[in-house]
Amino acid sequence: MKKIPYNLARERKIDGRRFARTLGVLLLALAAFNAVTVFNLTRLQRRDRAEQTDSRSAVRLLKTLKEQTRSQQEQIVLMKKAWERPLAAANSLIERKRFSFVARLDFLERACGSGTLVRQLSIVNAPAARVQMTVSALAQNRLLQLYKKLLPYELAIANENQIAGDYLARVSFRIPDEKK
Amino acid sequence: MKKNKLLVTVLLALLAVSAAGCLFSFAYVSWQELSRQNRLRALQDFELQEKAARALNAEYREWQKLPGALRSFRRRHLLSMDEFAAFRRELDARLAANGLRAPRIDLSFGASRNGMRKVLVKFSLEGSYRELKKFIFAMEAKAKMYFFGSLQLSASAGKVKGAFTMEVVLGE
Repeated sequence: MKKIPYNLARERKIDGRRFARTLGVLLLALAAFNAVTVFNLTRLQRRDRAEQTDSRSAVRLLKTLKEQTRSQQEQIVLMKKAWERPLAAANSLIERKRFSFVARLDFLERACGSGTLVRQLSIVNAPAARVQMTVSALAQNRLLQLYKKLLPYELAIANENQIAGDYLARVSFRIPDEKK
Repeated sequence: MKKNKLLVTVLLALLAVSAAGCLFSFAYVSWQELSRQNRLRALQDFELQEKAARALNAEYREWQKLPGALRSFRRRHLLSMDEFAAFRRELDARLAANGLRAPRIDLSFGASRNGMRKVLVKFSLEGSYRELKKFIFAMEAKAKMYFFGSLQLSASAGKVKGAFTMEVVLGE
């Protein structure tokens, strides 16, 4: 004879294991949400506190800095006005004192090889001044060799003459100061 | 059964509140991140301004040192009238040491400018190229503020003739 089970309870019977699992999942999700929230907020708070302190002190410093800068700028303008001319005069003197005639003569000795003779030479102590030189050679190729050496120094050839087998040229150029 | 239902309902409500809180925390963090970016930008500006201020401060200190440096430059390098006499002796000594003689030396005193007076010294020499170069070298090596303004050399019969101008700066 077949048994027929009847549930006479008013409400459905609860599956204890399933209910516990559901409860567990709910609790876990709750814990996870809360943990994420707490993590987000505390991290933000920690970082913010440090940065806000920095930015507050930066703002204070910036104010002081701006005042100091303004006052220094004003004083620099005044000092420039008072000392610019004496400074320019001193710098110009130093520049002229540094100008070396010996260095220029050394350069010419290296540039003019054998077979050439410098007949006249004029050097002026000025930054833009050019060396003027009259040079003679027994063969024209000696002069050409000299021209080649002087080409990088803004060489200008005024004239070249041949007088009784002697080649004579008037040139000018600019020699850099080797002391610099 | 009722208790269980209530428990689940409460838990679901709490879960909803937590989820909302979590979402809010993300939104809040993003919003704070934006204001943090502004703060960081302000900090960077501050660093730039601090750098500029440091450079300006260095320039300011240099300008403050300038009067002293110029005084020291004048004291050490410009010649007083007494030292000008010493310069004349030095010039004669250097000429004699190199076997040179200047038949004539012309001096012309310029006007005073910026507390300085220039004296132009003109002379001509005749000797070997080596002697003239040694003389130029000896005069250039001196620390005092006198220097050659120009020189013109011309070669003739184994000798070199040189026309020199020198400038001597006197401090007043």
